[in-house]
Amino acid sequence: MVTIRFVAEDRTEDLVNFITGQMDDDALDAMALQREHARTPGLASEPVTTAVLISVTPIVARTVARLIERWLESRRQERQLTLVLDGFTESDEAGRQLANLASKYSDVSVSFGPLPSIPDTRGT
Amino acid sequence: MRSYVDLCLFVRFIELSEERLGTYRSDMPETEILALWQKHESTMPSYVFHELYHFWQGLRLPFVHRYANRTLRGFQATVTWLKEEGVDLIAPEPIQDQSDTHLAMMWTESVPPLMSESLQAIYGSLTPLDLLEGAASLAEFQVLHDEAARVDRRVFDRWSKRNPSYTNALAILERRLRDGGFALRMFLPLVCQAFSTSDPARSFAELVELTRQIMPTQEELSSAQPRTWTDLARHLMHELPFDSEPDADRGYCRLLPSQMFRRPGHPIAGSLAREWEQRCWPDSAESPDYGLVMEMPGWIADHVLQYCRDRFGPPFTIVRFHWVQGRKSVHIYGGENSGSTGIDEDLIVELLTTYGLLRRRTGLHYDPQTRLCHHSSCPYYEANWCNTFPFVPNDYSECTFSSYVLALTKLVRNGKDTNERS
Repeated sequence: MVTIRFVAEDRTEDLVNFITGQMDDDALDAMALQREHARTPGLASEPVTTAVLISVTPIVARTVARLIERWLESRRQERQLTLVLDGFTESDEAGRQLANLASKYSDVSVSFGPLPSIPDTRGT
Repeated sequence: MRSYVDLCLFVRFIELSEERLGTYRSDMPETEILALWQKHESTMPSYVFHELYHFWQGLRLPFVHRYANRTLRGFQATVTWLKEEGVDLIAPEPIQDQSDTHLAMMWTESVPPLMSESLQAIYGSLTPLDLLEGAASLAEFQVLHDEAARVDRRVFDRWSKRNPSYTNALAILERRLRDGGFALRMFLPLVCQAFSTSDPARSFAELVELTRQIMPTQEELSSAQPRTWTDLARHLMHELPFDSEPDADRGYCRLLPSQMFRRPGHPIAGSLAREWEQRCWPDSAESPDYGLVMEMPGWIADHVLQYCRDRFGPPFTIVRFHWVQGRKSVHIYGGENSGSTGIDEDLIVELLTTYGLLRRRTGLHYDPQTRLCHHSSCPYYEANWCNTFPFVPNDYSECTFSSYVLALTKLVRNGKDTNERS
């Protein structure tokens, strides 16, 4: 399994909905997903999704990479997109696809690094 | 960009994105824009139901209602204090530094839950907001799905991945109960009971631990009536170790629906909360379903849910339209029930403006990220005193916020507050 953490400013939730909305049930069942929310004081507002961690097989990661690129192409306003990849090597096809996004889009940054693992609740 | 219901003022703030709207014309009259919103709202997209459920939490959950009333009382006390001390309404220093005793009671709401050490290790990070958001997400899911799917962990898992949702509180419950289907049945009843106490996070933890002792078999889970789980949660409430009398001002206690009848009532939600509660009284001719809407929204008869949507919807909604080409506009809409609040358009603007100023001034119920204005070039944008001022012009140089502030400052100095005026 490989893990991708992505942050797309105030469109992070939009990006995750775009990715998961295009995936079939089986692919979705095999994916672990965890949202990170901004902590808000007391009950003052609805927490915004600030980052999303997904854990998928390398094959599904290639689909995710294509979906991220489609989202980048279709968006109407640019947002800084930051991707951190864990478990990939730069020689992986999916890793290469994702890393290429940084060279194609000036507002995308990609780095490789360890990420916290997601508690696996699939199939419960 | 996220829609929300302000859980103190009980006004709904909707962010309506361009994808849902189509093209904006600069000559579009207000009535046409209103029609766009009404048409969109009538289709009840799931996020609109999510916000509706939050509004209902304010009407039905005693903790939330008390939180709102206490916060508003704190603001009234602030106005009194400003007047007595001759302190300006807008000033850079936070008012907490003035150690005003009237406000002290407010801050007790944000004290971390007092749990035993063993519970703290499991539930310590859980907040009342986690529970409210988790409940709104699950309610949204359950009204959208048929009976079998409502308690199917796999269906919920897929839905929560495909839609904006809050699942961390439900995940904790699932880990403790070791059964996703049981967790989906128990979560809303447990949250509703937890918010009938003065410390929802602690009560939720204690109720979950009690629930763990009553693990049903798979056969019992599938054959029991949905009402069983609501009755179970209500029964477990009697075993919580409260240390104060019900509705006590301090200490860990049960909060009763009588919170909704305390005077002065909430200016926007008070009368609706009382009306809904009266529908639930044993001698009421209404269906008992009205008392179960929060715990079992997916199982409630359609006509009851529809009545609640129509009658107990938010009286006031602020819609921020995000038009194509980056243009934005903000509009206030009154629901059909706004007349029952006795608040007209002028007064709601005054309430919103004063409210935004006071929460910015005191730091109470204030999130610096919350704002209606999008004019980031405005020299006053960063300070965010106008966080709920609803008249956002096309050009910030035409903004009328300062004239409202001037009028409010005079009101405070002359010894009249908005409550007296209303």
